Amino acid sequence: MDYTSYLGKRLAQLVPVLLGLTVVVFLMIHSIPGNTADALLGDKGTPENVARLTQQLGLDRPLPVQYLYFVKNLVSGDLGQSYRYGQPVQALLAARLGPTLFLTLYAVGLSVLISLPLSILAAVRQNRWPDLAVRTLSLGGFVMPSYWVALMLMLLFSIKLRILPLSGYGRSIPDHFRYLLLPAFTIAVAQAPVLIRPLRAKILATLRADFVMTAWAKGVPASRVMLAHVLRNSLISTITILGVNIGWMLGGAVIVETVFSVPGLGSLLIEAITKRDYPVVQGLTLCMAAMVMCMNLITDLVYTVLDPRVDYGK
Amino acid sequence: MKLWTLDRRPAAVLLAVLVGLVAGCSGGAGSGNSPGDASSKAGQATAGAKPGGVLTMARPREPDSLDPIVPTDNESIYTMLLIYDQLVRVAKDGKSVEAGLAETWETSQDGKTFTFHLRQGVKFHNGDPVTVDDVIYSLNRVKSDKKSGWADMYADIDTIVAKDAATLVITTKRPYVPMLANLSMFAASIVPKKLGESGYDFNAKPVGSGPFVFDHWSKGTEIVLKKNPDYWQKGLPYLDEVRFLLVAEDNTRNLKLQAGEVDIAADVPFSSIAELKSNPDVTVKAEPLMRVDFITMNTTRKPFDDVKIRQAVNYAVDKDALIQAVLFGNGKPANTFLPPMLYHDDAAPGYKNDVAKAKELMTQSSQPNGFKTTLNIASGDSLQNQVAIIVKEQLAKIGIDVTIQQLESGVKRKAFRDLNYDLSYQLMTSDVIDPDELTMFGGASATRTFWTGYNNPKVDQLAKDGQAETDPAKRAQIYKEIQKILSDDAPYIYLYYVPAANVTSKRVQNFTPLLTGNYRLEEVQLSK
Amino acid sequence: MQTPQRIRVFPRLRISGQWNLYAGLAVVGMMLFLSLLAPWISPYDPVQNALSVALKAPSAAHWLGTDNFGRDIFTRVIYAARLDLQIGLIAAAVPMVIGVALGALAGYFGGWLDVIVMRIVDVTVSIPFLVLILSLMAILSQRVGSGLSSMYIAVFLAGWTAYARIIRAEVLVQKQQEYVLACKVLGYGHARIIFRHILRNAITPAIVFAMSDIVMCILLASSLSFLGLGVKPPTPEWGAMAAEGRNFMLQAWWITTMPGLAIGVTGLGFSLIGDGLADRIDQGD
Repeated sequence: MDYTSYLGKRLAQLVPVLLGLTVVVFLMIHSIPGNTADALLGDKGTPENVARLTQQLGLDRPLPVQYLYFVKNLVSGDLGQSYRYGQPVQALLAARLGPTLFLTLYAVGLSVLISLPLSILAAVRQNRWPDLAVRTLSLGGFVMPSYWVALMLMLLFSIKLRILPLSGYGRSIPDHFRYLLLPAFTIAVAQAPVLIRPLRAKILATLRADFVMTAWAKGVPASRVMLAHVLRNSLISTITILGVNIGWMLGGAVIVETVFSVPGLGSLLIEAITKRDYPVVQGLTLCMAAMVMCMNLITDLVYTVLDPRVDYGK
Repeated sequence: MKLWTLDRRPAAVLLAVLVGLVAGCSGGAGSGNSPGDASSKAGQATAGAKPGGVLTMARPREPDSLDPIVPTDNESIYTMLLIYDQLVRVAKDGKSVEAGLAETWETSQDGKTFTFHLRQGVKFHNGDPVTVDDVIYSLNRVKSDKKSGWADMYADIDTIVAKDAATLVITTKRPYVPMLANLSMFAASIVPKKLGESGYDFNAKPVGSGPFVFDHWSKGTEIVLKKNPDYWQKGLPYLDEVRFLLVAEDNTRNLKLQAGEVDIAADVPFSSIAELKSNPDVTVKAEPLMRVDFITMNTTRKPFDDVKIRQAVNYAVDKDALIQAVLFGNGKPANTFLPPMLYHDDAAPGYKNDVAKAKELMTQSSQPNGFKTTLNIASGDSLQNQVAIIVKEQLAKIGIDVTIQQLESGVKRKAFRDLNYDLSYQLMTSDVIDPDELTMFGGASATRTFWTGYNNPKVDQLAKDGQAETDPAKRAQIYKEIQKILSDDAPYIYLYYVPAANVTSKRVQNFTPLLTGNYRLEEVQLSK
Repeated sequence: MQTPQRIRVFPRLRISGQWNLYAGLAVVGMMLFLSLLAPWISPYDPVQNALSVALKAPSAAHWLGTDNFGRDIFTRVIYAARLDLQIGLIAAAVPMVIGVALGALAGYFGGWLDVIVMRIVDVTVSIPFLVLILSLMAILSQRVGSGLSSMYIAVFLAGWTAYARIIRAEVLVQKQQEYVLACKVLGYGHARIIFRHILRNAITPAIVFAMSDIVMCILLASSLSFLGLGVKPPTPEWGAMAAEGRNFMLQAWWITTMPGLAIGVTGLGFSLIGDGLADRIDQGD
């Protein structure tokens, strides 16, 4: 089987999940008591207006027909109207997508920067104190709530030391890097432990592998052995793990964006929930699920490219 | 008035306010102090300050709407007052109104005819000139548009006509003292007739003639206003740009200010005021405000239909303890439903904390063994949260078991206005210098007496009388009586009058919130 | 919960056998002990205000300081442990029962049941777990009210999928084993085969996962409360306490810090138990 047909097959697998997702989200929002037309009109909701809008939106049709409408609108990029702002949901999401993407990628970068050296250190000094220290740190990252880590970082770096901005997103790319450093680091602290454990195991295995031993025996300096072989191998597993965990990181972004007032999708979700702006909640759920699926797909594809040993025939 | 919003304003000046009765009412020629040139006004360049620059202000909420006739919340109001002009506006001393789009005005001897001489050469932000037709259109709009939330305040207007291109005449059927005060309100902002009649959405992109031009509103993030270079007060505004950042978390606003990320933090927690005052880098503006906070009781529900119970809870709540614990001493116990302003009755006794008396009233009431009830507060509002926790404990002493329910502010407001609640934390601030606005909202039954369901025809009549009474001494007596009745019948748990709590960085010059809580950012400058 | 994953805390130290299991049990036991005996351990009330001692730093009288209402933080932390431990256990146990049952049935019978269960699992996994819980809660709050009850239902609806995946994979392996064939030959009913024989051998990975799931449920509940969507003040709960302390971060860092540390200690305990159990299984193999 060649690469193109693998891609085709992989995409085909997404179809039932996508359909299921739309059904689930549709039913979720549909189960809310109250009338959508009423909510959209707010104070202007005279009975005639409500009746007219109900008809316009097709809310008087049978459920399966409404679902088809929903999917049809979805395909044309129409996610409905926000109750609170009266704006198209897709416009609100588009305005908030950038910061979340920036934050997530930044967090991915930082977690790799943290995990790789620590994993190598732990593997090389296996079962000695550096190894134990790395494990203890990972545990801390795993069991501490991210809002708490965020507040502690804020307290230290923004309030006591005053070297980083407290909250917000900034207006230029260099600004974004500064403003999002603590938020991204908070997510990375929670993500690194998930990376370190398998990486350490992988590095241990690589170190024992024949080709490294051979290189060592041939007198290649230890540092080069590390870089050449170990790093390449660990990168592949890093990508896989990160791909699988993208949903986790987006979940972390919800909390972190709220604590640091980052104008992203996560903080929008919390706003929409407290304001009971259900079309926005629905749009965000779909959007974030789509991001997870895309990331999983990309991870798979990158993986097959990076590691030619993968047999995509199966 | 803005009912649910936090505001801050300076009230200390109340003595002076008494003098100010003149403001809204008395006949004769209007004050013609037209601030045609900024250099003659307060906005003189302060030493070390220079024009230009971008001012960033962190605020806890974003506006509900920027269409003048719609919203009731203070963020909307304070923003709109920077974008739109009105015929007259509240003067800085909070005691009178001064010229806006009307340069001068006269009130007839019988108090029923108001003549305004319009300022010439003023332009809307879209370049169109401001004409008398725009003014007539705008006033009719707030008076009779279906969307208007403020029609009641203009209901007494009989006719609005143009005498000539520069003169506007408003008549009322009976003497109407609060007229000038009401015309200074944001709701009476002047908008272009041409746009309005074509169904323009003023909320999406406001067009006025005020000192700042609306630039954009990133929902949930920020609102940006730009300088209006054609503003009629020559030389103003000094700033090039104003950014209102939405920072919902109370302490974050404070911290962002201290970190130098914003220039002004609005509504900082009172817990931090003492510390901020000792910080040499910032200036605390804890100034009086025409605001009153209370917990409304739904008198249409048992057991709050029983006046004994309403009085009992008033005695049971210790306002001084609240002021110490929550406001850190920054505030005064509320003794009537009017905040310190014109005709506020300073001598009214209010309800001093008296648990024994509260218990006694409870035993005489319909619920001698106590009861369970629910108190609605806005989620995320630390002030309301802390008050609720203390009130819960104080009411427990007289056998009332309070459940605290946190609701998103829109949801809470809906429950409040549908009278679908037991107890609700609310507050009112006055947008005008006249007590009429708050009396109509907090005393008369047009609002079901601020959605407590309390209904007293006598208060309604007195409120009407107050609008028509041109003799200041008699008028004072009327409002005193209204305050007494509402105090005795107690549809509210009277809490306190709080000051504004705005904090600015040292580089902000001339930032002075008015008693009405709004701020004239056109007069603000940044030092180098 | 979304992705079955757990962190091994310390390496297996052959010398000391099960030390991590016992250490974990000791930590969790201590938290349980403190929380259950809280009224006898602390002289203070967890909810009652004592405004005269507001915002006091940690001292002999108030080990972890007091908050802005003068309430003793240590007292509130140990009372909160009752609620948080309860949430962690229930929010992990109920989905575990549902997920184990569905996963076992799906793996054993295959066919349309398997397809349906696994499609639901696929869809659930595609939505970030916290986002899924938040959306479910937003909708449930209209029916069952906001707060704890809607959180429980949301977690029950969504949390079982991780267990179902784990158990299904195990059952697929187990059902090829000889003892299952033997059971079938003996004419045992499906229910008996699944729940008395297969599960006994397939359940351990789920139990190990449950230990980290408890930690994640406690983190979830406290995060929701921190965001104002879970437990409401003045009820002591770690996340809600941390949120209340935010306004006093400069003057009284301890209000926010202490509940976070309590979560850390509890999480450490459960993680150690999980490690210990995993070691025991590995040795068994």
